[in-house]
Amino acid sequence: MKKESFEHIVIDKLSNVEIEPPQVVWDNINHKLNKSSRRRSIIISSVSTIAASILLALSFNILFLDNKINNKPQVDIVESIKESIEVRMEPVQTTNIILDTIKKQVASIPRTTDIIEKDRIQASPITKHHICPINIKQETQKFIAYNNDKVIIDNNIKNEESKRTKPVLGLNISTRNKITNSQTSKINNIESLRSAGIESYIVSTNTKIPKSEITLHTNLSISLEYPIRKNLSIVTGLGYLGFSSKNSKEFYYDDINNILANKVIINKYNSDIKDIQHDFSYIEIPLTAKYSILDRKLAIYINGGIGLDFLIRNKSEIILENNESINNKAKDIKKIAYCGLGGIGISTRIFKSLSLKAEVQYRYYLNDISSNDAITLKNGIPTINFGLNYKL
Amino acid sequence: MENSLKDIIKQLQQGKRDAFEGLYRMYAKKIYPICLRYSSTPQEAEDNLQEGFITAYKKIKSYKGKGSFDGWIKRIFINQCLGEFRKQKYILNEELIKDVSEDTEYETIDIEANIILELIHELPTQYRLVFNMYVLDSFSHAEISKELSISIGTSKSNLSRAKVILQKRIKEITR
Repeated sequence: MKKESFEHIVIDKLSNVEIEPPQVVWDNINHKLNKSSRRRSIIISSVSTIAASILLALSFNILFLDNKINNKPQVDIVESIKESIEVRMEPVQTTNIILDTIKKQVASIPRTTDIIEKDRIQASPITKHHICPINIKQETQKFIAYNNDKVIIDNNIKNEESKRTKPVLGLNISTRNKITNSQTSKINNIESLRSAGIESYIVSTNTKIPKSEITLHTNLSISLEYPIRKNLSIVTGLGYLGFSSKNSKEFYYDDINNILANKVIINKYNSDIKDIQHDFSYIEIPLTAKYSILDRKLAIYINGGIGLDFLIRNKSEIILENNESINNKAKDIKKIAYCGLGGIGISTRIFKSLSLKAEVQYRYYLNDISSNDAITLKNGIPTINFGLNYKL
Repeated sequence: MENSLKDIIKQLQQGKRDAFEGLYRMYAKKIYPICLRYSSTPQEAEDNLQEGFITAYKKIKSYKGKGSFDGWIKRIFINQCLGEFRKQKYILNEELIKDVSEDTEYETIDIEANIILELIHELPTQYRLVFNMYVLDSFSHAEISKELSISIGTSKSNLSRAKVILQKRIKEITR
């Protein structure tokens, strides 16, 4: 008789054994998979709804609220000027542009004093004009605010009915009295300015200002990945992009006595150079295709697609000597930007479908983020993106 | 058959949920005995079968076609059963059995597969797991010690003890 090891007998007997499981097993599996499929649909629709709501809210904010503030023309100020204005240039450090603009705007309003133009010198390119509110009740304090659009002279210190729009940026350049927080906050609110007695503006400009180039320094994201084929997925989500730049600007100001005497002197000796820090943040909704090159614990992939960026933060900050600062917005920064995206990344799973990712991406903006002359941004930017990815 | 399996896998990897019943019908009969071997009760075997298939459905995209699909899916179910075992926190007996004669040769015996299954099922949990893993699923003692968090010596002794018990029971039945 053939002799066999015990193990071989057991293996031989059990290797091809088949037993039909009870039908209830399949019924339960079917039920669970249907439930999981419905839950996934709910997650997708919830995420879509949230994304759509954010998009709508941002669009509403961009289309209506921001326009309501920014479209208020500075001409209102000019139209309200009733009294005499005198501009004397000594020694002149301004340009034809500013003088022409001053003339044009002043000519359109009733006035008793002509602009006196003594000299003209071609200065380096003018990039900004400034409107400077002066607090006449506290004569030792002076404030400067600038606005990119208009050059306006308003020396009407007595006209209580003058309509004024909100100054865009404020700066205390007094060397005798330090600015206080309460005074700074008044700059940002026209009603407070009026109640504080700030009723006069002078014109200034900046010269020899180097253009600052924005660099992307932060890129964080959360993303949802929807597999469509083996190794291929569609990815969307939300990303945070931070841009910043720093440059210096020259602010002109005048002696308060000249203001009170209805004489505004644009004098290069009466100027201060201040650092201005610009910070812009965007929320990005990307739509990219992701192709896995290596799908292991440490996965490697390439991705490419488009991104729609919504401006959520626009802050310009003038840094003062006494560690105080004055904040406001930079103009001509795109509220919605479009870009093409492409890159390579790695990810590692930290919990079931959730993974941590790091991507080197190249983004190319199809519309310029900044049309502000003093702030330039290259359309093509290499970035590093860190974030979380959830695979559906 | 092989082609239809490939088609089913391809369809599942493309997200076609309906193809899963085909895979279940193809494998449930083969996998159920594995679950029976590893589980303490038939009810636990059914639960492991159910959860194992759901895991297979979720992980099907990670199957790259390298290696046999049978081996891939079988490993999912063994992991499911071992996972369940770990959850139940069985206390493994570290006793070493001495004086066990291993690999005794037998004459060809006439015994039904389902009776062997029942006998395996009667083994104490720790012996059953080690016997299944080593004899029927080709794990090494090192792998078993890692999976069950026991020493290699314990794994060997559990196997010896399981064999002794089974041999004794088979002799009794076939006498």
